[in-house]
Amino acid sequence: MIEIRGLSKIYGRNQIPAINNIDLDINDGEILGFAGLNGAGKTTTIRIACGIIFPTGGKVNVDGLDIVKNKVSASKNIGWVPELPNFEPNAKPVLLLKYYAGFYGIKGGEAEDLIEKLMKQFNIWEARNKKLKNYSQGMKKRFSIAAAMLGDPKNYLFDETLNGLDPEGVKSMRKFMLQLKKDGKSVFLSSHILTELENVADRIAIIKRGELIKILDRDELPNLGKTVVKLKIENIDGGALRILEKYGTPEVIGKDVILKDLSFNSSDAHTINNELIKANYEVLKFDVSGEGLEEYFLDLVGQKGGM
Amino acid sequence: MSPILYDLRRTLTGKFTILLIILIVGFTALGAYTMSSSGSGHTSPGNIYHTDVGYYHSNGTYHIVTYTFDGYGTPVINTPISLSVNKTFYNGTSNSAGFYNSSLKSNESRIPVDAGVIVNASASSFLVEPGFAFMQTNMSLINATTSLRITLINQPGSLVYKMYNLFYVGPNDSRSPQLNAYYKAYNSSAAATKAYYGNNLSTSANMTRIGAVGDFYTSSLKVPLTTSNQNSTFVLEFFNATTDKLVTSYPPVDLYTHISRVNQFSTVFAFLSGLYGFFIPIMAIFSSYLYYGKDRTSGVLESVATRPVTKSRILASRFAAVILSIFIALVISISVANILLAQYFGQMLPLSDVFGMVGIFLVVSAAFAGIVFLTSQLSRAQGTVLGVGIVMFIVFDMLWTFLILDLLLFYVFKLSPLAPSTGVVTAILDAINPAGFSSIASSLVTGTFTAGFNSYPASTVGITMVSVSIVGAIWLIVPFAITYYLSRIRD
Repeated sequence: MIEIRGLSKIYGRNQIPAINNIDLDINDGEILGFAGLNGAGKTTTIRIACGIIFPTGGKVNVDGLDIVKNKVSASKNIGWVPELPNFEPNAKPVLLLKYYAGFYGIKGGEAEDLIEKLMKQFNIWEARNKKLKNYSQGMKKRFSIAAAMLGDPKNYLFDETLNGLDPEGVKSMRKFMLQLKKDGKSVFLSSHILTELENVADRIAIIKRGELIKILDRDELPNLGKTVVKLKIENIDGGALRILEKYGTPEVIGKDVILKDLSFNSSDAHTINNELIKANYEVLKFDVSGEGLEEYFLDLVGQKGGM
Repeated sequence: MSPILYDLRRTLTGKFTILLIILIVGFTALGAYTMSSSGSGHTSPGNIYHTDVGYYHSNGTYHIVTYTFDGYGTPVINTPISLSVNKTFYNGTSNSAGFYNSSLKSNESRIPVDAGVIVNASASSFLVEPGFAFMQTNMSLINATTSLRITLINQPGSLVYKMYNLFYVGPNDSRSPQLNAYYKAYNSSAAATKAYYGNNLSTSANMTRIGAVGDFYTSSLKVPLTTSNQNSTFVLEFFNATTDKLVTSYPPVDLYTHISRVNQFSTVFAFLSGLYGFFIPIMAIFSSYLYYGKDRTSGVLESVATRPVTKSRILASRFAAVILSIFIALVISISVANILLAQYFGQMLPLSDVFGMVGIFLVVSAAFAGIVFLTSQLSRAQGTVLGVGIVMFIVFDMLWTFLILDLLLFYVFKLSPLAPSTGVVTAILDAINPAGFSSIASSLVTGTFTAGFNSYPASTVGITMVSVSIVGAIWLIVPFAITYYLSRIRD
């Protein structure tokens, strides 16, 4: 479990805080999504939580141990996977992993067995004799995950790890994170890919300009934001749109329509369906729901209509 | 694998480290070999030329022979020689065996000769054997007897071991008589009273034969020497091989010249300073950059920093690895130099002196490395870290004397190079320069500090064991300690 309390970071004099008074818990057996625009403070938060940089204020406890005051003990339960893994370019992977394993007190044959197992698990064992500078970005990311798992930590922090992965990679990462959750690990996942956060996260924390502005439970995700009506009309034409315009602002993509800015109470939405059917339109789908995480997120961070 | 071992292994097996160790050891060995064979660093025996002159009569012609050799007994070739015979100059150069000959036709058994020899060599000094030097006129060739010239020279590659060079010519168209050479070592005080030890071999006291001389002959006679001969005086005598009668002798001489430890330390240190003054700061600066600064500024260290380790521990481990690699380069190269120069000086420097030198240069390397580590801690830009290292090398190591002494002190502040205060000011400036520590530390050992055009007793400019220890400790510890402290509180 990672507890973040009042966490702040100011990088230099006269600079605005990169993060300000962040409070957050990442519980065991939970995946916490961390969403925010570029520069919002996601990476700063994660780097402090990993012990890479020092906080200006507040603290991070990893399983009860302060990451600054008890760095060595706290780090034993931290596994960090960055967006762009950066290792000694001329290092051989097995030797570098042995070096890392040494910090956890894993040595000799035990280290070799573990390294082989992890490298095989992430399909990089065949490339064990290549220098890391010859690894592709995907291989480096897999190597990074293997390196993060060396000490079998209880907490994992993934910083934009899904970026740059192909669909198969994203799928296997999703599966991997869900397995970690199942194993009782806490997972802190920052990502721009909000749909992926929707897919795996139990909660999603939204950060804006260094401040935590919202934490969403998984149950809240379907009803986020303003209510819209989503329809699919087989024989859609101008007449159907004229009907819909009486109730709001329709956005048409093929046969799909999203009716926004509703001018009626959503509990009376069935009247739209009735009127379309009476006018001989074939309504294939009719759903009243929130506008979705992405729209909600953009509304929340004030970036709707352009980044 | 223990993380500290990985850091050591990575630094020691890095291409840059290996290259620098090879360069440092290679240049040191080459320099030491050159120094021992040419004697650079002292007035080199190899730069002192000797010319022996002899003559013999054959088929109505007097042959005048010059033989030129250096202080190690090596023939000197292509040296211009002017041979003056009866006011006529014969100019030439010594041949590949060191000889230059001229002749004077005469069937007279006795002729007056106005003769002389000029050696026009570029050597630091040259000596023409007495009896035939230029301007010594009216030498008579009448009834020329055998010329046996004996010159005291150095054993090859040695500053302390001497030997005899022999040049044996004549006489009148006949073969030179065979001579046996004997020597005896005596306690210096006893030997000083006696030029030789008997007119006859049988009456000479327990002399040891070391060789024979006959016909036309140039060679060297080497008496086996050990360190126990430091207080010995040697007498060399030549006896006719047939009659055992004494023919000639060489006056008592010391064949083993003792070089003081301080003198040897001073010479070796001056030689090493020339090399290490360049290589050690380079190795310290670039190793610190390659194995710490670059990793830190590029973010490579972050993948280590998330492990169960503090950043200060990583810093200490990398710093130790850099210093150890320099330590290894220093120990190997100074040991090699010590071994190679032992023949030259007749003795090796004691281990305490070797490690003293290693310690002095380690302080210099720790100072440069510490500053690069500190810069890495303060800046996240690779260019800044590398740039500071390079500028530091140029200013502290290459331009310090010019910028600070010549330009600032003497030109701007008009300090006289001869003023007594110049010594103190220069010593202080050396103390605040990471490259200057070697200068003040060696001054402590030799007792002399050179500044401007003057040499000062080290203690008069404040160079004492206490002050040097304090300066050394500051350079060794402070840059690293500040970096270590910052790594615990700042990032």
